[in-house]
Amino acid sequence: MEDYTTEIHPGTSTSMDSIKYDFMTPNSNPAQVLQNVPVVINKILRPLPAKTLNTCARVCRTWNDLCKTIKKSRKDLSWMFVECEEDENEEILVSQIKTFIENLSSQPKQLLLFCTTNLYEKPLKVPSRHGTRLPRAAKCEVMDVGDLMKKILPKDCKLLAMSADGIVGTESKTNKPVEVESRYGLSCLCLPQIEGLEVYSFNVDIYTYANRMDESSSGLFDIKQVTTVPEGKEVKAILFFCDEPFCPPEIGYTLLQHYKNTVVAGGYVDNLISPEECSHDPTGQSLASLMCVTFCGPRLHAVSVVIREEIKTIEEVEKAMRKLKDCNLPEEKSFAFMFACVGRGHSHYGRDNVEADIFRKYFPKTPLLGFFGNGEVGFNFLQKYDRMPSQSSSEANSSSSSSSSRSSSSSFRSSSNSARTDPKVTNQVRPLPKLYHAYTTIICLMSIS
Amino acid sequence: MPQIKLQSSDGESFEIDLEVARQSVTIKTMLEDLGWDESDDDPVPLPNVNAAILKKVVQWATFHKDDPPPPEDDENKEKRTDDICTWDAEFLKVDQGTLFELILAANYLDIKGLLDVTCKTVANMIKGKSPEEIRKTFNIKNDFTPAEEEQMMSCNCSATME
Repeated sequence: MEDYTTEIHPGTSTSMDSIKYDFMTPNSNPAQVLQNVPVVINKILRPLPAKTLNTCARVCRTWNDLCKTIKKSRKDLSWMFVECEEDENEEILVSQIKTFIENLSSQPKQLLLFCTTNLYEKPLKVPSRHGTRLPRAAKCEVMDVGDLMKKILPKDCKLLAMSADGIVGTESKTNKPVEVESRYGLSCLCLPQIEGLEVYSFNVDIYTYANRMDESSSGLFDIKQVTTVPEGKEVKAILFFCDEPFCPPEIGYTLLQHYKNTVVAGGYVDNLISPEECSHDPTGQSLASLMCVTFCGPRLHAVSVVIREEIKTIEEVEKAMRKLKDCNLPEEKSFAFMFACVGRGHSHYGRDNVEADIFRKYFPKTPLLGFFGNGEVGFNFLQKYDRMPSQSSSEANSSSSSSSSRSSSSSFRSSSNSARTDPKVTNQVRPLPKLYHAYTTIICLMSIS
Repeated sequence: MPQIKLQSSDGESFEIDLEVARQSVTIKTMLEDLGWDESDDDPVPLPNVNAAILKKVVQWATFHKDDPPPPEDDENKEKRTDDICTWDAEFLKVDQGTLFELILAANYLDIKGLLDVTCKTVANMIKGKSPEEIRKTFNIKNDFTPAEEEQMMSCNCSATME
């Protein structure tokens, strides 16, 4: 009988191979199924979040192998946004953050976190590990948002966190981007291990740098001393976060000169929460005043646009957003950052959420995160995405525009393109775009193809 | 409504609606390959499913006969285990042996909806448990060496991510 069934429907034979028929006796043993039938175990484990898979990997060898395979196959970007009013109990907020981390499908390698300064300054009461099993009077630990995240994240996940006056975040369920200017809010983006995407972050102690500048009159900031990006990697985008208002502008321009053809976007925040130390300083004494998060890898594409100070109408913002849209980055696995001046948002437009809503109109799925800070860093970098890179540069060069910022960015682009193809011209002086702004909004879009 | 006879491994015959039976891809393929038509009276033999389990499977398939076809597994889709409907949750209040026999039957008969919901039920039994608790629940043998266990304990994971 068995031969007969196998013969008439060979299509199902693969799944049948792993099933031994004696399991089908009335005393079918769960343990035998759970240790010997990979198809079924796989099906059971597949919907579980990364955290539960980590636990399951410790059950037995078969599960260990399967959990590793499943985890490797996951490359989801995840994001969350939570907010509350000043007088609201932060318990809900803490539990929302915990639930989010516990239910992440892919284990994060980096977590970028933007939180409002009022929330960062608020001591959070976090139930200690066994608190849930004890009665109401359970012990609580008091900590700030940064410590909370470090406590609940896997140890090999890098927390890149900062606080600013206001933040931008995207709620994972409704996918609505929200600008938070007066309430308490927190938003984060989790990046798992994705082949073709490499993220390196490094911190700089501005004061050490400034002292060195006095000694040597070269005025050049030696990136090689502070960077963690391996030599030869092509940097596609640098997020620039600084909590020192007097950060010498040379630093930004040196980044642009050192890493050719990269997006630089970011701004001035209130606090760099994590990491605090500078990796290049062996003594661990110097505290970071600048954090650079670099995105490399052949699959990463990045573009950015500056919404200038004088732009006040929806039509004009839409025009800027269309420039980003026209770059044709694949939207499937994309994420975006918005770095706006504290003076924009409600006080600029007379109502809330104007820029975030327009972003959503043009990019219906892309999560948007960022902050309202004290100065923005960025420029128009509008390199078109094309499956055939040779076409993209000719297309980009042929596009002409009367707008001054646009033409300056396209001259930058063409010069950097030639620099890349011909190593002899790498040292030639390129016109650098204006990097430091006030009263603007920078939108930076990244995509993994 | 055309009917079809199914025969369990222990020789019991079940006469059910063809539409209900066709939720099983295995049966559907079998009928197509056999060129089955309504006049056929021979029962379709299911050598891997006993009468008690076949009865449950038929009960499930009858209730779900008008369901839209389940979506293909999508890697990118949000993974959930809490979307089990009340009827299924009630239906699956069975002992562990029966639950796993249903899983094997659903797998053999290739009924995606039933396999999904039974596996999710087991996944929910796993959630929130420690490795030791999971082993105890399902009577799984710990086949790691003490050295391997120690290594896993010291791996770079925090309390929350395990």
